[in-house]
Amino acid sequence: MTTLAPRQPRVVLYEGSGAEPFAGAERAELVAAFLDRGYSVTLAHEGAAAAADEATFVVVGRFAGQAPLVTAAEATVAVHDCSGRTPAEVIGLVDGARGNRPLNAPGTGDSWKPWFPVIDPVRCTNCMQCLSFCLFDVYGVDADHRLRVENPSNCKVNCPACSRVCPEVAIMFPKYHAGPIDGAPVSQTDVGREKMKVDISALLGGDIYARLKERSAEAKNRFSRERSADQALAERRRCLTKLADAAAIPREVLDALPSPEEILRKSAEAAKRAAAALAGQAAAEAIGPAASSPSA
Amino acid sequence: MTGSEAQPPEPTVRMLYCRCAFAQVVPADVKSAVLDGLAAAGRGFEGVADLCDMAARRDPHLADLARLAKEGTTLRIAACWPRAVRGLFHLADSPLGETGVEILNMRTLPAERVLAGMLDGDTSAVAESAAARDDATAEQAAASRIATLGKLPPNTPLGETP
Repeated sequence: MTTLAPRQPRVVLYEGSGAEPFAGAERAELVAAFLDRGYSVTLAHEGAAAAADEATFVVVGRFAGQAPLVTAAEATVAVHDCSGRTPAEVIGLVDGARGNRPLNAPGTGDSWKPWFPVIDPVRCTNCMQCLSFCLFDVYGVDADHRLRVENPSNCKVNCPACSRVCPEVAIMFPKYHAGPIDGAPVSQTDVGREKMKVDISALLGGDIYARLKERSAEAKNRFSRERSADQALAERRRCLTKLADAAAIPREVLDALPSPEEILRKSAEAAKRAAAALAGQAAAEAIGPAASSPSA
Repeated sequence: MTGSEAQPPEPTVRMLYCRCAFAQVVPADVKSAVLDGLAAAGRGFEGVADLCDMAARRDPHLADLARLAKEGTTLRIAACWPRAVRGLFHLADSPLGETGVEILNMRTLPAERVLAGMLDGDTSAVAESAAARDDATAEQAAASRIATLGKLPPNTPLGETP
């Protein structure tokens, strides 16, 4: 699980009072370069210095040797006069000023691709099917027993499987390549299409949990006979191929699934949480009308 | 118009540009041209590397923007599908109101339409942003994607294609 800092560091390109504006092409080049490195950027004009919030760590501008002192909510911000400097030099100044502040930088080895389910609150009916489906604790419920994406960074990158089990087509992955999962409008065809709701039990030829138990027992027997991890892996791949194809689950996600026993344990836990949330919703609904009734 | 007809003040506009820097689902030429246009306009704006990343962090700045929009500022966002953008703000516990927010979809609109919406408040561009692709456009996009896929190494995840 990736622990996310509350904010990405922010760079302010200042063009307000006391600073010369950047040349148009240079301004675009700098903003693009900072965004591609993962920074947030404010292009600040007159009166916009309030953009220096606690995420701001550096202000750059063409101050002609008169760089002002800028104080953000929590710290003094580094201010660099970049008069006469090339864009590459300005980028170097900013990278240097960042110091050891955490930055999720796109395209670097240790970066986290922000891939996670996004709920359409207009469509979601809080049926909790996704919560009971997900094995990675991505979903949770809020104080009102409504569905919530609790741990986005637990989600498996490029896996949109939970969106396929949502009967209301309410789960989006904005970085998915096609609609409606990418957030495109949902058509009646999408809602009616049986394919949108993957029946995992049917895919695996019956009750998934019974099948997993069976496979677990089979695997134990096979291991005792053959002691072949490779063969077990091959069998697992074969079993899950249909699921991968139908729900567009990346193979590496399926390969990384825990053991059948662990899947059963996690499924039971998730189902328990979903049942508790649904019971909470029912209780709240039962109390609601009574509480609002004049005789209550 | 007579001098006695008081005009309501122009609402303040805040512009937010999403670079979608962790994926290639927004056409690179569109997002670059939109950024160039915003930078050339000589107006202040904010850019974020990735709105999804911000939402996942529940970045408090999203709550600031949502609040400003509810207080009368017009918030214009150049990003992707409006349904997804609204979902991201909701995920960050900062739901956007029904009014005061104009979302421009760089996945489907050409850069000039996005810029017309961002800089000039062209409401038809905002409306087009939420409209589904028509079949012809979708077919064209699919054909282009297939052509691109042919040039990519095998096993490249679809989300990584331009």
